[in-house]
Amino acid sequence: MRSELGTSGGVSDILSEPLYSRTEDGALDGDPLRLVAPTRRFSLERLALLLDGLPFEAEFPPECPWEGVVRHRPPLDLPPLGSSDESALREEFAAAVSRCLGDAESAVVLLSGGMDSWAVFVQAWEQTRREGRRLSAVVWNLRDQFGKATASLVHRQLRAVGISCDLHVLPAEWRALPEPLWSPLGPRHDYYTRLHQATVDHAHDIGATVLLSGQGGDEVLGAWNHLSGWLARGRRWRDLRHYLAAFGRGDSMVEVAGEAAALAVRRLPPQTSFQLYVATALRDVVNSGRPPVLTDPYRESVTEWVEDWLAARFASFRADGGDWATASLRDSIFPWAYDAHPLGAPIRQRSPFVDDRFVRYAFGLPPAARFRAEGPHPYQWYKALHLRLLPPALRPLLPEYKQSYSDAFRRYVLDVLPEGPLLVEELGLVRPMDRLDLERVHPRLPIVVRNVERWVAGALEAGAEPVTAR
Amino acid sequence: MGHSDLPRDSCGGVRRCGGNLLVANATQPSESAVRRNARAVSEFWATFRASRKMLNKKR
Repeated sequence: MRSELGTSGGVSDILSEPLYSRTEDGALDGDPLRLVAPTRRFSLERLALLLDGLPFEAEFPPECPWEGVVRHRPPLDLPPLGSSDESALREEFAAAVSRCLGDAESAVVLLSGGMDSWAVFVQAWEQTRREGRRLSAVVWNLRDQFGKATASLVHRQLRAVGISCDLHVLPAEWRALPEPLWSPLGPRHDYYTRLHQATVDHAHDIGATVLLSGQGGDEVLGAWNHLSGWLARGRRWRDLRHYLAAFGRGDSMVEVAGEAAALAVRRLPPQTSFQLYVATALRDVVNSGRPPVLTDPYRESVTEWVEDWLAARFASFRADGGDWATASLRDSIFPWAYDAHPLGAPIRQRSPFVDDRFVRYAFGLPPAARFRAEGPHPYQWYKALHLRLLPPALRPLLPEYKQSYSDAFRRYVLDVLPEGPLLVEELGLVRPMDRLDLERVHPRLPIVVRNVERWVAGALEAGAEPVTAR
Repeated sequence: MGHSDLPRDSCGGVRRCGGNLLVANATQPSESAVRRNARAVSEFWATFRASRKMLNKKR
């Protein structure tokens, strides 16, 4: 059993390596089964958090389902905004990629053709070439909202930057692919689980020991809410105008008013400021107004959990001085970054964006550096820092819009749940609903139900007992 | 914080997407600006009241 945070493969792993703690004595271990009592019991209340309310809406990472064990998530000591040197971005990112590669002789990058995964790939390519290591790329051949196939985009991009590497294209034919094995760490919280498993299998087949991705690029380096004050202080009036206009066009006047309010909130009582922040920036996730999915006892337990979370979030908001820009960036990254990768994959998974040292550095960057209204494509304005990490030859072939794969996603969603009664329904966790009902409540709900269903089935098969709501 | 409501942000299942990045894409075509703003204001007050209730309960 480990008594402190460890490392694996020579890389830091505070965020990327799940670690579990026994509530009774604080013992830590990477395998929660070594911490549970001889009678293995899992909590349906904790599984309920994946299915409804704020933790579902905001895609919070799963709590450890085992009774008496919790996920160990030590808080990161984050610097104040504006305290990091933005000229060191490339150097800091290169160091993060190097830590993610660790001592791997062969690595795979999951490449989507977008800016996040390309930033990772380019840096990993330079390093592995220099050091004589092997790097391959895997692309999932999804089609975006305009019918453009990811694989052909990546082919053109590779040609444009003169990189010739092994590129493995996975067709988005999930039915033919095997499901990932059950893991004691908890339910999967990714969506295309079979495509991910096929990626892992490919990585394994070619002898790779680490799978790199661009997970968290948007969250850690993208432009978020409440940058207006920083843009104004830097006298970047043109950028400020575009930044505010986009809120009005794409969101609502509430967001525009929120930008103005963020400048004056320090004069307000902390709780009023926090409530205004929540109502402005988090209203979709705090108060979604969706029909209930869980049965009443579990809905109540989720409500209690949300109340506790909100109280704890208010405490950290006060500790940060009640600054809305800090709060917005913190909420973009946490708690998601603690489990950015699918749980239970039998390979080391890393993203340099959620390397803990890089997260600390990026958090401290001057917030206004995240947005720059240059070029004809508004999407790229919000990724001003990403552009600094990419070769100029790639720019004409970068996505000009946020890639959306909604058609493929919808087909997948309607295909993912089997017909017939669900185990989670028999156990009294969810209300009787078929997959169309679930899809109507939220388009990704059938996948989440499927992930929970499969985990519960595996746990019961392993002889564990469910613990119902208190 | 999560922003993966389809169809506005169909992240393709790779995980959630960055909040403001979505602003750069087209708005929801089925809803007029007036309706969108009216809905946002109504949700704003509902969330403001709900968060006050939850915070006061935990005091």
